[in-house]
Amino acid sequence: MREFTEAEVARIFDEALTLPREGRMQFIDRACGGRDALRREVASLLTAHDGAGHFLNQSVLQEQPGITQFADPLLGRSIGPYVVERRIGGGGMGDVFLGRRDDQTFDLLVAIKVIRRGILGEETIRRFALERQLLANLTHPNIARLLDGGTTEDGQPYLVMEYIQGERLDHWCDARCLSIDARIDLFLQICEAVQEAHRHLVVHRDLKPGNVLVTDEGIVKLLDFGLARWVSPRAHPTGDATQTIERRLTPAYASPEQIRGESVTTTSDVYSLGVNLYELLTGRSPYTVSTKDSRRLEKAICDDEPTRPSETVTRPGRVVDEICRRRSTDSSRLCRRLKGDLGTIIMTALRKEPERRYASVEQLAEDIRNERRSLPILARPDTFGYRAQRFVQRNRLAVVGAVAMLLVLIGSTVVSFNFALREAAAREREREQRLAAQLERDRAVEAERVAEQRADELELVSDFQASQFADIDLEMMGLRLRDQLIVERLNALRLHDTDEISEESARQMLDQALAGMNFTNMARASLEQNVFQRGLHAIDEQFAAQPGIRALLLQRIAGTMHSLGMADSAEEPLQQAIALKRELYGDQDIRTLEAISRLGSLRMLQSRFTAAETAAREAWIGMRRSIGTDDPRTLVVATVVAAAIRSQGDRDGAEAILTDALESARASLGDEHHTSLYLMNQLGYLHLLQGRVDVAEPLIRHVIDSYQRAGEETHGEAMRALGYLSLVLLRQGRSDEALDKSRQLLALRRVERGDDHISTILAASDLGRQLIALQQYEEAELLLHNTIERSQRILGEDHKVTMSALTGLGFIYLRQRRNAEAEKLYRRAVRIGQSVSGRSHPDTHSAVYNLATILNREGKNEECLEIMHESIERQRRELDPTNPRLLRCLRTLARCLRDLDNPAEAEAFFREAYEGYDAFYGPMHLQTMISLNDYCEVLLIQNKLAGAAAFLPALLEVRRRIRGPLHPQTIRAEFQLITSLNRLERFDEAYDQAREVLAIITAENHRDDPRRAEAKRLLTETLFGLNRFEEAATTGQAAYAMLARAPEETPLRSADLAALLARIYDAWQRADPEQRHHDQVEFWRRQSILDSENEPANPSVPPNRTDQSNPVSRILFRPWFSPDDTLRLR
Amino acid sequence: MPHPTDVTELLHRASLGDRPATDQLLPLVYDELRRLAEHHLKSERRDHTLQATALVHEAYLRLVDQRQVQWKGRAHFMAVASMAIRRILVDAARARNAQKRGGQSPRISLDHELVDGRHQATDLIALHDALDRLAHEHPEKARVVEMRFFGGLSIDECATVLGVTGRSIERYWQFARAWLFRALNQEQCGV
Repeated sequence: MREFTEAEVARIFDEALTLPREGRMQFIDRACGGRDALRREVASLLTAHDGAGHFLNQSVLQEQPGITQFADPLLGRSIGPYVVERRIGGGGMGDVFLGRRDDQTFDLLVAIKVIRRGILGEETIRRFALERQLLANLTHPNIARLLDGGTTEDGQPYLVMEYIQGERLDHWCDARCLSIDARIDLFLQICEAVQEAHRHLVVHRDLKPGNVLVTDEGIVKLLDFGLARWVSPRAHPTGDATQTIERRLTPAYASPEQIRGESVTTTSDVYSLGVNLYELLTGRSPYTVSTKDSRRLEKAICDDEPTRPSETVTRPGRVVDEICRRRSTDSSRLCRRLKGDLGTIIMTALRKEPERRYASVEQLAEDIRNERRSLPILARPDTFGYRAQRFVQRNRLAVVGAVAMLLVLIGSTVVSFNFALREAAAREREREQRLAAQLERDRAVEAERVAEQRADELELVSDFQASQFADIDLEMMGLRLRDQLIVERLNALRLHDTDEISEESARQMLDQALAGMNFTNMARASLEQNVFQRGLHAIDEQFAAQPGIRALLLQRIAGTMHSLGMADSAEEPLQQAIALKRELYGDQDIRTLEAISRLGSLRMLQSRFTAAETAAREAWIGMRRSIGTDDPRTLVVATVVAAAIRSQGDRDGAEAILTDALESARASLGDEHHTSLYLMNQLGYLHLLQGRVDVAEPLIRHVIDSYQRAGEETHGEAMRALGYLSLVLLRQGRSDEALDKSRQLLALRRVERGDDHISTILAASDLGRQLIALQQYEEAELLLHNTIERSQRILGEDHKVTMSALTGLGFIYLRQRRNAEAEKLYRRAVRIGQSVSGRSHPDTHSAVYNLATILNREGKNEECLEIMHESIERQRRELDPTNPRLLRCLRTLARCLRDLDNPAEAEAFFREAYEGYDAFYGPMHLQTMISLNDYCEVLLIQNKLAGAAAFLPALLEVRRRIRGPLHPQTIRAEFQLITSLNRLERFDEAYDQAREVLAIITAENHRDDPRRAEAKRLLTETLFGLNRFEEAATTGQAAYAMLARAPEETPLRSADLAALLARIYDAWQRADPEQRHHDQVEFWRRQSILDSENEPANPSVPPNRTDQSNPVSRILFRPWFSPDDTLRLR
Repeated sequence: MPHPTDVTELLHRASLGDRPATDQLLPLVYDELRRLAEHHLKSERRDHTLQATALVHEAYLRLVDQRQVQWKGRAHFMAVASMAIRRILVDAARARNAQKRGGQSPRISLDHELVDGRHQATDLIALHDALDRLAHEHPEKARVVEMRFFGGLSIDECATVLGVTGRSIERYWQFARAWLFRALNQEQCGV
């Protein structure tokens, strides 16, 4: 009988395959949980899986007919002189059939492409027929010839082409595991074909793997030359195709100018060839966007820098392994090859601006051949040739301070020079130039049109300029800057050192050298100085006489600076703009109001909430009057008002405003409008803050769903909503789902922005803290550890995100009592807090508090005292006296003082903490209880028994409530109270208390419980004090018997108890001469001496031994009296 | 030869989940394929692959009224055909084995790319036997192999025929492929 089922095997096998290869064996170890046979079974299947190669991958029906080929009404019919045999392919534009021309003399196979009905208009068909003649002249061994064409009986245009029996280029290469060089050979054949076509003035326009076949003889054949122009509306905007067709054609290989519908030239083919080469070599597409999402892909093609080819193959994993295997190489070799000139060649072909690509396919092919022969190539990495030249010519950019610093650091002029260029350049380089050029042009235009001052046009102009900067991602820019710096330096190293230096180690060295530098700040500083200040200066100079335009431009620049986080610098131009507009248009004009509303947002960014409210309200009131309540602009300004008053504490007011605004937005704009979604996010978050998670949830979910439906999961608002949703779920106790969402957010950020982007790091840090809240310390530790490392490397040590991750990890160590490690982390956190947020920031105080807790725990009380004093002093200025953040510091300070043997001072702080918590949380709260306990203990240490007796009953009550009557801490408080009362000779009260506690313990516990012995001993003292000698003696002897039975369990000294009994009998016989207890007195005295010989002698301290092995005893009998205090009884 | 409308009707019912319809289809498809195969085998080259493709195509054209059948129906046809093709290929291999018995090679491989990357021929009969054993424990997984390998069905088509998600088909496929690969290699190594 086997010990496992087949279903189990399949389940574990399936799951293992979802993991990266290196983690699988570990996973099955875990999943099989020691069931060896099961483990062996799964392991052998996994081994088989890894070794199976192409096993069974090729069907016996070799062409994988995909079924669809069997059903077309055209099958078996004739088109022109050809008989349709079968369907061999198809796509958005129509189907392709295999045709046979059988005119008795020879047998000819052809491919017949039938253009789907409705794609081409009649006029186009006529022009198409003309052009066909030109295409038919195109003969080249690598081009599939166009043979014929016409219109079928039912009016469908068709083309007849040479039939190529072959395989798609990429499949061909992968199936044969062709090396990089073999692939390049094939690619060069494509280049030749395209070159030939270009000589005939035919541009392909649709070069993609599906259009490149390789025959059995290894000859490359290009299909569909010049056809895209007719069938792709993208390439031919006047074509009469419909929108749906356009959506069907993938833009993955289209050039930016094709996507924008601009004129298409031979360099567009250069671009597409670049994409093809990129994919052929790396197995991936140049943009990280999914190729299925046309809209985002189009945006990426127009705006995003392609990922450098070498980078796509550096991340280890199954995919890269497979890619390398298909190229008969390994990732480091592939990476090296792509990092060099080959990478530069591809990147040059892929440049956005046609004029900066290779001017011809010939040049591209030539460079590839040069690379093969290790000759110098034509292309230059972006910066050095082209941009450096431009830089010198323009001579405008100043080298900023950060650059100078780097220059010293890196010690290379080449690098720093490039760096200076990169600074301004990464993504917005061209835009910056355009801004300058545009300003020049504006001046010329203005000179002519001063009189007219056509505001509309200028609005457009300035809109254009603003759009140049609007989507700069500073963080991204900083990252790129950093990467570029490393790449340039590596290139420089390669030039200088002929020795094979390890690139990896060089990269690591550089990485190290740059660690901790904040590139975002550098990017920002550079942008500010190089672009904005210059822009502002230009505006002042050139538009001095045109206040309207000046105001407009000032506001635009301010807006862009604002969106880049340069709040302080943005204020002045914005204020100027407002002043100008007030004067020109009056206070109630929408143009003025809009500027004022911007000021409100800006003030929010500066955390000046009251000022923000004033501005936003003015704009809001004005806008409602001038453009109505429903206008998106009015609605947006309402959110600013709401945010401002919320930040000042008025959450209800904020809610009312947002609720109204959302209602109007829904009514006038609908549920899916981005303004509605924005409002829902804001309102949802507010509800969340107010603790109304169930109200918040549907709003937030709607935002997420809407963006998802629109295919925009990665929209900023959508991701923000995802973060909120995670919080909602956390509050609802659905912690697993919450973690899911946080993980999802992190994954999205990773994909969208990469691992190094601040929002990714932040998401990782948030997830880590969430895991802590759920006590999943192991995973949290790992995550935060990585996050700290990354954050420190990328964002710098002095960054809030680094600090946040540090305090998170510190907290884990604190909980796990890994004090030394925790101390180290919190020291860093404190230092960062002080330098980034200032000494008075709550986050800094928090870090200081945690550090102090550790220091106290480690006995470093002098330092603890010092930092707590400073922090408390600052917080007293800012916080309410009952704010728990302050109180916890007071308590730590007091503990520190207590441990430094300064109980008197400690007492005052403990009392303040206790009263504060009592006022803030009420008496029945854990924090109140802890503080009260601290306070009572410190009173007892000082032998302030009356005080202790006054507060202990309250402590007892809360302890019983929170911890239960039998908790060691509760019992300890009972004992403390009885002892205090005994010593205060308030025996009646002590008696009641002792009976009560005895009853509680007896009811629940074993008869030899040390707690019971202690309770009886205390009762003995009380009875003795009450002169109830007989009962005292009985009780005392019972206690003694218990101690004798359980001596290991208790630190109580039998000797002391024996001595007490001797005194009781002695006092008894004195009080009542009739009693004769001489023997008893003698017996107990002797017993006491005997016992003390067996026990370590320290008779001056009552219960004073702590049993380290027993936590209950440790709590119960930890000394609570000062050492010099002795139990004095009459 | 059965009338196209019969097969078409059966296909239609099969695609709606009618089990008996599928059972009735198999002999029809099998017979037609056999007949065509015999006809072709006399004059054909050794290249089984093109032959198989052409055979199925031809059988389809003969048996099914294409204007009446949707994509789903075609998938079902191919699913049925995959069983028939398997049978025919195995029978052919056995027949050739018998012919050559006493000669040099005890078993014949289908020499084309029923092979892994290192051109190690897969023994069709061994595969057939292993597939039967797999079907014993994992009938659906074995069916996926049959459809994909012998019928050339895509993941989506398999999903349609079996009424599960494409993701499941992929999982079945991975598992079955590993299972079969192991089974065949163990056999060869004598483990």
